[in-house]
Amino acid sequence: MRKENLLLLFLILAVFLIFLYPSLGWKIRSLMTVSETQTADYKNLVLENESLKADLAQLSTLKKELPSYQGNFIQASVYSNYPFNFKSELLVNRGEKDGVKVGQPAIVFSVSSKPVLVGTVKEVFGSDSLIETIFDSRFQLSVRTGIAGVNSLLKGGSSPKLTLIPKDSKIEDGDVVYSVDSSHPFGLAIGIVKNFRLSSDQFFGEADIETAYNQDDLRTVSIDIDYNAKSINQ
Amino acid sequence: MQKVSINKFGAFFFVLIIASFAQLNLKAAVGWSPELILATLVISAFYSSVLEMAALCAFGILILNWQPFPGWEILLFFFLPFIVVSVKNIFPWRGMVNGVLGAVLSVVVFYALSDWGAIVSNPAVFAKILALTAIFSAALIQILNYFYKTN
Repeated sequence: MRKENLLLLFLILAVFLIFLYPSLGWKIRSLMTVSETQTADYKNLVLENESLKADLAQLSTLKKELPSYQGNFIQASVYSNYPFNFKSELLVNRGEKDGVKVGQPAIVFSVSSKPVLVGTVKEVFGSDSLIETIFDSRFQLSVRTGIAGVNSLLKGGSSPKLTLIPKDSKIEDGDVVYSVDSSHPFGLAIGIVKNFRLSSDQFFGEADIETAYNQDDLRTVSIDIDYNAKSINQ
Repeated sequence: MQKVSINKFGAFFFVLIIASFAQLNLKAAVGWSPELILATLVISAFYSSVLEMAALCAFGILILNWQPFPGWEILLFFFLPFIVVSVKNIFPWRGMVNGVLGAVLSVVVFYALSDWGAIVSNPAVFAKILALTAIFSAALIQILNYFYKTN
């Protein structure tokens, strides 16, 4: 066989796989990504979740005022994620036929079964959907922090940040961050505050957010298929 | 028309695998990574025939595609190496500078078209991406020049 024909065959096969069997590419990619040992990851996750649990317990004083959030969750497996910089999207194996709609929250559960926000459904296909996570630079959300309920704006990115925090706020490292945006369930935990500091303009404070999970280690998420993004908080 | 070489294609395919491995794991570890895959495809284009380039680009997007059907970012990724090679004669510099400039410019064009706002809000990270992509491209060209001649 001529060399040109061999290459042409390779090209046709690759194009065929791209359009008709894209999951092969996702599998190759996941094989190429080295993940740390499951036990170490699991222990870290448990520890992180325990700390989040403790932080959530601090919110118990607010519980009377917070409506309890009980969604109708379906579990979804993560097929693949956005491979370039600045954006963070997850492709999951639940779509329109499973009742998934744009704007529904995607969460992971902590060890104490508390939902922790991962992102929002951005695009829905027949049997798959794309989730925009809080690690996407386009992601923005109104949030509150700690027992004092200090308002701020979460700006997504590879290192998500809290911005526009009143500079005299009493925020400490470890305070829990939770959603108060009308497009998301009220009181959904997102992460904990780390490294609170004054912003460069000195008018506001800003802080990093530490999450209880690593975005690249996510293998499953849960989607609240009953949540209507336009409805008032539940 | 340039002659097809299976050995050369195999070598570039191997480099593409290494670059993919490095890029994906860097992104998983640090949260961002230089665009090693795009740089590899653009630089390969300086040494390869159209058919070799197309096959390499197709394999690149098979690995990178993250949606049920390739979106326009993936198509842009496929066509950028072809565009760089077709306009390389406009650049007045030598092969090495052309290759590095082509790789860096393709990264700039890719992000400018896919997410301009991200560049504006993350200039420091973007500068690091460009700098590391340029260093990687220069090193790759130096290595490839030992074995192959540019078109």
